[in-house]
Amino acid sequence: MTDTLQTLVQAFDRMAATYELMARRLGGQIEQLEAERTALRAHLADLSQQQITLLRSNQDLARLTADLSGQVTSLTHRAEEIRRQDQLKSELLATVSHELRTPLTSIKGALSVLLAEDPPSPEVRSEFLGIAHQNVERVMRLIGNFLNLARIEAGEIGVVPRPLDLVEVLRGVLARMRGPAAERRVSLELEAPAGPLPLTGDPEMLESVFSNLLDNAVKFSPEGALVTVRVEATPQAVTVHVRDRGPGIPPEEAPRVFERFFRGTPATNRRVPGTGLGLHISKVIVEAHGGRIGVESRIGEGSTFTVTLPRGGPAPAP
Amino acid sequence: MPVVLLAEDEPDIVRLVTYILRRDGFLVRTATTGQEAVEAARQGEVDLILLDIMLPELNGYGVCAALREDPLTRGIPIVVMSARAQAKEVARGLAAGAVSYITKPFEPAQLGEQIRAALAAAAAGRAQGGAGEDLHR
Repeated sequence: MTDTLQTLVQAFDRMAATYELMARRLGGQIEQLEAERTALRAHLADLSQQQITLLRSNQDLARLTADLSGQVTSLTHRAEEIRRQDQLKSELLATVSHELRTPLTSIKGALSVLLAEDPPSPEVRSEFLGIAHQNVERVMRLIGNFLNLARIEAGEIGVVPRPLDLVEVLRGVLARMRGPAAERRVSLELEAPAGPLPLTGDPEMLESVFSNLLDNAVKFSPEGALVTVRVEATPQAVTVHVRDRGPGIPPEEAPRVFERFFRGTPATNRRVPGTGLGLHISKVIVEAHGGRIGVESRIGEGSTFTVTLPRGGPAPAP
Repeated sequence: MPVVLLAEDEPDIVRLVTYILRRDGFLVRTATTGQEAVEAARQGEVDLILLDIMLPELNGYGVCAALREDPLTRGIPIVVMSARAQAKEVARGLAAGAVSYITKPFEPAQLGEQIRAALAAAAAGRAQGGAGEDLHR
């Protein structure tokens, strides 16, 4: 019995020792795992910090990319604009050259015929002096328009308002247009109130406006047609209607006729000479006077350009 | 007298050139659009065409092309007289088939001579059996 008990005790002791050993090993493993877990936690914290940093730099990059592509777009636009301006400039140069050479051809031709014939017959003299004179007017109108354009582009239209008689201005313009009108057998008619029509404005500039409108009306008139200039006055404003019986302006082009260099299809199809400047300049001048310019047109019936000017002149600069 | 067909739409230049050419011994017929010029040339009795470029309906280049296509008018020498004076425009006119290119403003005293020279060159071309066609190359 004692033996048996002893054996049992010994077995228990061995078991206890084994368990103790196992417990110690497990404790060690738990500690190790604990340490690993701590290390992993630290690593995770590190990683999420890194992720935040990455996200931030990603956002920065996206912003930068957006910025850059914005800059690329604006540069592309600017390059396009420069190209367009360049093309406009070379077109303008070709137009100026053509529009100056044409009247100069007539002036030079007429004068050399007159010089070659000594003395020319009275008919030849009057015909060819007339041609030279009209074409000098045409060159002057052209140069006036280019000078005004240059002023407009420089931002100084330079209206010098002073008292003037609008009827006198219109009569002067009509008198100068009689020659070119007669050549196309176009009659010019002025319907104005009797007596002077005083208003404050720049006479040279207004002359240039009505000269451009009359020039267009005559150029677009069919042979033998009538161009009417009708003047209406109220105590506050004067309205001038310049009406032609030309081909009319297509409705989709009417809003564009006052744009710089714009030439409508009736002008380009019929090869009516011009630069696309007259109406643009006229609008700038009329608006610098505090007035308005507009057009009403019907295809096949003609166009009426209407200028309204305040009689008191442009509002004083603020 | 040689017959010149003047294709020009500026009335003052028509009057002037007509006067100068008649004075210098030519018969002058006129057309004021490109289409009119082509039709007038097809009707015959035209020795030379003095052609503006900026013509209504059909421009000068179009007139050249139409005349070259038609065996009836292929041999008529064309002299361009235009206010388009840039080198590339002159080159384009000559490429279209003009035998010479006069820029505006032209020299009125030399116009007759320039036209006679073009007529003589065309006649020489025909004598060589080129029927004037070679002149357009």
